[in-house]
Amino acid sequence: MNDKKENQTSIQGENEKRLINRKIFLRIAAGISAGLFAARPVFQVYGRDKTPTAEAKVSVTGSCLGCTGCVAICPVSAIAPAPGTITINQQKCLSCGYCAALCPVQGVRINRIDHNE
Amino acid sequence: MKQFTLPDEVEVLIVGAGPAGLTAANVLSAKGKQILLIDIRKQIGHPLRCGELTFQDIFPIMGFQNREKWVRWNLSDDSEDMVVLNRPVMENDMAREVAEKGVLVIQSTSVTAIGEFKDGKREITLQSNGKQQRLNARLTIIADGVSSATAQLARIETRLTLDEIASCMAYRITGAQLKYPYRFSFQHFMEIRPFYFWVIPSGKDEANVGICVHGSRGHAAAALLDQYIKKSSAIDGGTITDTIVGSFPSAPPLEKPYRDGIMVAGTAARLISADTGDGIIQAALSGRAAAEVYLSLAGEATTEVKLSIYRKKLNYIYQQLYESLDRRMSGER
Repeated sequence: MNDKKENQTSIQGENEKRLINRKIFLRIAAGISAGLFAARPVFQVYGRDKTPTAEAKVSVTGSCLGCTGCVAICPVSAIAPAPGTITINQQKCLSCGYCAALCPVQGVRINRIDHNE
Repeated sequence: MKQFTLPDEVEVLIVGAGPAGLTAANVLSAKGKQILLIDIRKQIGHPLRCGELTFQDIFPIMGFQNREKWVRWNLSDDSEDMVVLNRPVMENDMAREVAEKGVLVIQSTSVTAIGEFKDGKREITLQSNGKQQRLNARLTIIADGVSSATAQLARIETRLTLDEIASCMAYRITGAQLKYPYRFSFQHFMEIRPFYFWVIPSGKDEANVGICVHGSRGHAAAALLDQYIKKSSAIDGGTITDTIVGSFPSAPPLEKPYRDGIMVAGTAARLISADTGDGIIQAALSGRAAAEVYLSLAGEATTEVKLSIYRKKLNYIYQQLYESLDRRMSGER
């Protein structure tokens, strides 16, 4: 009985993994192309007149314990270790969300920032 | 606190005062080398980031006499003697000991740039308490753990993807009833690997209970761990006195952990077992190997060709780590 259950979760896990990988790939592809061509924050919401009205920004929260796992996975090396915490270079950050997915204590958060226009 | 002035030139710069960095500093200082040991943390050994389970051989490998207060608990496994260390106390004491032997130990300091290899030296830029300073080092031993940010500065590709990292979270639970107070347990699950729970006793009524998950699931670790503790029969009751988080690379070890004037040791070189996260002993062994390679050069230039014996010295560790990766891939356990 246990075997069956494990098998099921494994199939489910595989599918989920594929989905996650695909999502990450799309995010990264979007991030890199936007980073290369536009050189501006990556995740943006555009209004009708095609001007950005909102964007995603990654920030460090108070619960960060400075374990520096996110430093290793940041694809653009935007995160640097600091005593007891980390610092994020907003110029380099692609808002890809790797760090938020990895962090077990919600030490980084992706915020939606609306532009008041 | 006493203000240190950093020297302009050192023989060996060691980045990171974990098991690897401390072992290297200890071995080199015994031969009277001029060493600077830096660490980004405010206090060496704090905060704790792992389960602290390792083999008893750790003390002779690191070259320190075993102290009672460095060991939290002795486990009697069938095959080998395992110990649960008290890493914050151990590393702090070891740093003090190497400092007494003449090693300059400085906290809250990190490397911000590494120059090219020129005249047998590299120019290293350090940031210490908000101040930048440059110094020349003949050899830099990089042992800064999972972040490996320093190795990236030397253009060694150590960045990981979410598939190549494992995220861990653990609670220290005291006043609990343990089913097996002298045995550790790892419970692996078939899902996105790695995915396992551990119970490592660190006292008669105290244990380190933790979870390790695939990097993309790190954010769910806390919820899964709570669920496990509720259902587990290995541990009952108790209160959570500490939360420990960390992560480790589950990718194969660095194929070339050396460059001109640079050696990478410990978890920074991904010398950590992919299926259990056991890396303390590998760190100590690689730290010792790095120090011995430098001593064997006897003053010659630290070029890449000369340092290549480092990789050969670690051959058997690499073999073991590849086997552990195979086990993980084939789904054993």
